[in-house]
Amino acid sequence: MRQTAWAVPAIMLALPVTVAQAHDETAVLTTYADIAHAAYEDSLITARALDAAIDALIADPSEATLAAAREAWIAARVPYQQTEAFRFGNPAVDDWEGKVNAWPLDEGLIDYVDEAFYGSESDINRFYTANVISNPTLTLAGGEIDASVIDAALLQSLHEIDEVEANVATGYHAIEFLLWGQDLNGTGPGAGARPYTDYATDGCTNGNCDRRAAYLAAASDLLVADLEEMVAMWAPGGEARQAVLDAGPKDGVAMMLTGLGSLSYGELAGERMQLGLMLHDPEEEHDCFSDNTHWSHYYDQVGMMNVYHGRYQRVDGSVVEGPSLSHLVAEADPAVDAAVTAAMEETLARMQAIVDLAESGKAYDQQIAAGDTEGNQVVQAVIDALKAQTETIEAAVAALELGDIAFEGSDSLDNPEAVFQ
Amino acid sequence: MHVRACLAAVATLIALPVAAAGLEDAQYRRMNQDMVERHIVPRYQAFAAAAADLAAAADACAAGPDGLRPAFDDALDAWMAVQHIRSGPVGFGMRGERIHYWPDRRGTGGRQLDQMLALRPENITAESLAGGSVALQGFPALERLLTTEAEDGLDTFECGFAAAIADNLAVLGAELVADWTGPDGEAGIIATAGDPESFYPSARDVSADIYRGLYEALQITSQDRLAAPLGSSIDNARPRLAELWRSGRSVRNLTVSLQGMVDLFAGGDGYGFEDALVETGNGTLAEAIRTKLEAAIGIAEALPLPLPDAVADPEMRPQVERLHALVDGVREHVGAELGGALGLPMGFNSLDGD
Repeated sequence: MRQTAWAVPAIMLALPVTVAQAHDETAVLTTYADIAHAAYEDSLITARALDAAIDALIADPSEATLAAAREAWIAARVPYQQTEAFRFGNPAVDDWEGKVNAWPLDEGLIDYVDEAFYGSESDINRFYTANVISNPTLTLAGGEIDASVIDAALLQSLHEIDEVEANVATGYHAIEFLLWGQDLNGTGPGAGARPYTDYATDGCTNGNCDRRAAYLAAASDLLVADLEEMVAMWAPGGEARQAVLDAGPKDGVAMMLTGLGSLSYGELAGERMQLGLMLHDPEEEHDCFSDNTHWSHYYDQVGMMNVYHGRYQRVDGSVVEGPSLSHLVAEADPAVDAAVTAAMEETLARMQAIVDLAESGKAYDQQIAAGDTEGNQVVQAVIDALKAQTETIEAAVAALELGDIAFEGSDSLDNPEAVFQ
Repeated sequence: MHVRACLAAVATLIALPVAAAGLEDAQYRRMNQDMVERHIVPRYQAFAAAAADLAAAADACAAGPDGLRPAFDDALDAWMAVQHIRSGPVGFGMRGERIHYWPDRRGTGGRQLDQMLALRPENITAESLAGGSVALQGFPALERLLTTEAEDGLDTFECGFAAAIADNLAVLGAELVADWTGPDGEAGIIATAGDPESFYPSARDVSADIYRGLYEALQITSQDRLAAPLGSSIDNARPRLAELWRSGRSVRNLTVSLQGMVDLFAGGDGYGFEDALVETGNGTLAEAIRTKLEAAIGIAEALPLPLPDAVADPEMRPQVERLHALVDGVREHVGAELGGALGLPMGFNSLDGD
């Protein structure tokens, strides 16, 4: 597959330019789908490892098995975050995504919470403290929900229950909460500190350890099943792959760029980062229980670069690559390609600064704290880099003459002097 | 989550042949001048005065929160009358969010307020609030203090907190006026739009910014003030999503806000979008927008129940649904037709997406 589009026989070069371009674009779309397939497959492989580690934790709860499960979760995030570049622009992914990576969540739906920290009610969510692990029956004005058996079907029925998106019952962040617990340190140091005895059959802490274990096992099984579904969608003949290829050269490439622009701008720079600096709230971090947010943001950026450069390094070290968006843009306007490439490198470097600061002991939730000038500036620098990156992606859209593409926006962006007054 | 619907909507807007229509530069200038002098500046001045009164009233908080309530209502009315202006100095330093962080889609403000009341930090001032969360600096936080927290009276800490918010609002009001009317202020910058050194490449760009603000305010009014509390059905009504329901302000905010939009539309009874529409042969569109806005205001003013009750009341709910349909109709007229008719591009709308 590699570079086939560039090795066209001389005779084909005599064909009208549009035909040659169509050929290139199809190859680029194929690379895109191949990378998506590989990245979701890696997500599945690491989710299966997480599932095994969770089974081991439940079978034999200990400091060691809990630590191993947490490590497996962090490892599983590495390939998954790189798939986020496929979310916007691919309806098949965006429709599915909420099941596995919905955020933010009102964790009181799932398990016990600290009321002084979390509060006891919400204007938005009637299930704010429903605590399904300790309540076999959930009551609401409209009726009752039988939660006596905790299984996949129950979790699916609770997900986004009552039309509230913060009712996240499944996916990475539900599992994260069950492995770490609430981070009660506010914007101070430290992550969630759930004891392994929350799963103990003997000496159970915080009650209902059997139901908690059943919840964790069901959520982990569901994550594996949902990822299997997405891997199949990107396999040859799969729905998502076919949708990209069937879209044709122009619209298919537009789908790729929509994914990059929307993740860069509205989702990452806006909803996941700028809002955090406006509210200075520890809940405004993507992986708020584990304090793994710096890596989640970092691998989002890596994923966007994978898509642009048509190259993905798999978890096992092997490489999937082929004709890329970068090639197409360079053909249309080399200066624009250079600008996108440079902007993406700059964002990655600014992301690295968040990672370095977090690894040196100041976690992302501390970085966004009110009054932490150093942390606020490091986070703001990433936001600014993502916005600049979005502008270059818009330039790429123009260079490829793809017409108007609207990226996902955010009402917390767009103010040039937003944070530092 | 509901990205695609919005993207589709925006794509439609962009697809309109905006360049085909448009006004003469002098018409944009005249419109900008009237909107600034007859609408925007007086309304910011009124807000600054009302916020200063609120700050003065807050000093008497210890005598009981009741004395604060009229000043709170006046200041909030004054803000609602101008919050559809979303470009210019209100965007600097997150002023708009600091004054009124709403909608608060994740319920952050309430949670942070509870944490603040538990922590009871010493010496809360307007300045210390200004460096913290936007959700604790403005009307929504003050409303909670004056309602839920005031049920058993306000203690010294709570009064100090309320006074700090009121002071913060007064500071922001004064800053807005100064940034509009002072030397090198926004009003002057707008007057020189199109000059080589001006921030605005043309007078049309100024009109377009104000136009986008109007559209976004209609979008928030339709989606957040009305559709959200209505919910998908009467059984799924969400009374607590109504704006500032604790103080019973939901309908009042809506009415004052819509009245403000009518006045902007009319250029403060000078030369506004409405007059430009008539002049360009789009009188039918101008009339449709005005008629629907006035009908919506009429329904809101006549609503016999507070909004949180009305959305869940079988008899009243259809009235709210009608109100929502009217506002959403105006939103559509303004988004899909007004801009095209007056040559004002929608461009990036900051409310696209989630």
